[in-house]
Amino acid sequence: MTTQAIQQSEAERLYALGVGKLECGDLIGASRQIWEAAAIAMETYSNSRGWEPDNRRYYEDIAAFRRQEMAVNIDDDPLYDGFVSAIMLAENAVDRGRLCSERMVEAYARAVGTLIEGFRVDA
Amino acid sequence: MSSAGNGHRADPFKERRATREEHLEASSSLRAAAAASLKDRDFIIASEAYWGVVAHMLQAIAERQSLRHWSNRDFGEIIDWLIGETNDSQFLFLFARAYMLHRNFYRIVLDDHEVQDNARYAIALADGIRVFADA
Repeated sequence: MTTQAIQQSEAERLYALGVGKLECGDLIGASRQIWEAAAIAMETYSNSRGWEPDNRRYYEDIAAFRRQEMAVNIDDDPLYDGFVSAIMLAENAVDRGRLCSERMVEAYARAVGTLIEGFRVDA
Repeated sequence: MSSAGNGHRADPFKERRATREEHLEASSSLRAAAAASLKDRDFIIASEAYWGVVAHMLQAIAERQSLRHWSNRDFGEIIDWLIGETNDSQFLFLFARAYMLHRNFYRIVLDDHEVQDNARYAIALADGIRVFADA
């Protein structure tokens, strides 16, 4: 199994754990777990391309990379909602659940699921 | 359970609350300021101004619909309420894109293109929900 496949598998495992927490009503735990899953998926994606984004701008660098190198516009990028959703969940976890409602966490979690799946296909 | 409708709960700040009209005026003024900042390529100021367009529109709606609006979490609850009214979950993602601009004001993480792109989404959100500040 390649490092990339192991990382992808870990992202999917963490995502499943996050969904489990969501089903139990643990919105903060779910936000944290799902954001961690997204972060690993994004790291795997960037590693597969042999570059390392600035941690401070992790998502944004990937979005910019997709736009500049792959000519993907955010209007047409099915993964962009996943980007912003991962950020919203990260902010919600840091802010101890004070940012997102339950419906928001559920919707953002689904978008992150699409992001992880998209990266698995793209990577 | 949604808390946005808990209008009976005491305002923790005990301040005078701006009116719906004041929030609409602020949203409109900020829209002009945001467009000017974008034209001047002042992307940081533009980011917060576009977030302000949305934030004040949400507060105008909250005033009109008697929803609570004391925190960013309440903005989320107002978005929930809007989805309940419209059955349009796209508001969630428009809100997230507008929030990216707010985040950019503090952290300077978006490139110029992303500020411009997300600004369009912020305006789309503000325009899409404006009717609920009036109805």
